[in-house]
Amino acid sequence: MAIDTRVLEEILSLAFTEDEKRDFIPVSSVHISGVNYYNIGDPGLEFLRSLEESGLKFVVKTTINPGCSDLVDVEWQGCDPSLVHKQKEIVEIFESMGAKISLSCTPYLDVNKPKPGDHLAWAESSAVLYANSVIGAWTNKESGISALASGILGKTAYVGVHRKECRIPQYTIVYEGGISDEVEAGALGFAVGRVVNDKIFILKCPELYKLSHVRQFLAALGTSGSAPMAYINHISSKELHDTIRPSEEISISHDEVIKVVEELSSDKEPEAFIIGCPHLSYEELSRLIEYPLSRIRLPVYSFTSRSTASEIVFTRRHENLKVIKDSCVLWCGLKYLKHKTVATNSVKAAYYLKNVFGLEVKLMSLNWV
Amino acid sequence: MGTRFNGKKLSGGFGRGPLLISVEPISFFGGVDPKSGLIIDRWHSLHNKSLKGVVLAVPRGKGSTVGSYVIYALSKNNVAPAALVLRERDIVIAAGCILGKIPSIELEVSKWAQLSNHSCATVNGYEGYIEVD
Repeated sequence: MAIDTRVLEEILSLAFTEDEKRDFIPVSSVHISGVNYYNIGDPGLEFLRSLEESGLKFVVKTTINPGCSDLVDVEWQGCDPSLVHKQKEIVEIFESMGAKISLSCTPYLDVNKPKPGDHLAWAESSAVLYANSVIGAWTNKESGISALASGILGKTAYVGVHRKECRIPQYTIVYEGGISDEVEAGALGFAVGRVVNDKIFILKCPELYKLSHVRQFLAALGTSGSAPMAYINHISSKELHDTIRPSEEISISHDEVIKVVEELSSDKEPEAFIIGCPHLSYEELSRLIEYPLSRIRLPVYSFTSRSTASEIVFTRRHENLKVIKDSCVLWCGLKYLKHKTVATNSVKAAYYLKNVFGLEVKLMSLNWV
Repeated sequence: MGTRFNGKKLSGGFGRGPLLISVEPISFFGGVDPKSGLIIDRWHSLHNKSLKGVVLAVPRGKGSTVGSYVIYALSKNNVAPAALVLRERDIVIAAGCILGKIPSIELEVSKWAQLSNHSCATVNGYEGYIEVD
């Protein structure tokens, strides 16, 4: 398939309704999803090859989501070499087009840090929600393919949350139950996503203030719904204080949050613990490697960016802990290990490990491992 | 001659098949198997239904932004819907339809709601309408 800028313009123009003026706005950065071979498969790889053959290049700063393999320390994972080869080819195509090989779903932590008010074209749902809701940047939830088009054309459709009038919340969500750990923060996000669908909302929840909990909340919200942003008390930028207060209020109970945990969680005994969806921050990984070894009764597979991993000084050796770079939790090593049941503290990971890898998944806070 | 509902065109082409109506949004990545075309999201009301050859009416997508690649893969694997009819504009679905050459249109709520009275449909993605039998 020959890809040219006309097709890419057509893809960006999908965002306009027929009666809307076809205005575009330049973007200061792009973040692309659809990098993991398990996400895009051979058809996606063929599409990327045809893009590269067309000679198209990114004209703005472009970072990429993780793949399915640690590309620095490959051998120990035991992954099928042909699969690792395909993953490398995907990454090389992005590199040849001019992307930064970040291989991270948390670009906002280091390699692609937007400022409040920056217009972006980002496609990783959890990163879109973080950029809009926590940083105060402006990005629609792009498709992996429309973000690619924006990287090549340097612009995006001037619609949706790029316009101030479209950043107005439609609901106030009130949650007065407790959040005892990161699993409940994620379960709350999943429950809220089902209720609000694609609508922006204000969250009144005094208990949601730890950044690691907020990231779990947003990742799960992006899994069950399609809202591009949320106003979160204590966390969101000053934009929150200037916004209109919606008249419709919806309450979510602690019982509904527990129900999500029960619905997504298996009662089988896990054989490994998966942590790092979204990728662990420097603070989270630092805490994890200081974690008392005696409490870790399962092999722990942790996922972070190569940038974060490079900053960590490993002071002691943990036999049970593996730090995997460049990869999402949909990781080739998990296929090789042939576990039937895994534990995770991420509601987003639980959903995709179950549906894409067919694993039984138990939701557990790291405190309980 | 069936009843025609005019909507807005998203991606070109003609598609005809039995109507499959999803009352809830679909996450194509994690929710649909790109090899078989089956809905694999066990929490979805159409769990285990096949998308192959149907005219799929769905309010919009949800969840992962790589759903476009799944739609493209459905087409490459010959298990794609014959056409899609969205209630709301969704760039993840529409971009996948352009690449996969699957006709798709957007239909306003009141017309979309009437589709449930019909069993078969033809979609014209060039002109942006659906004709129901």
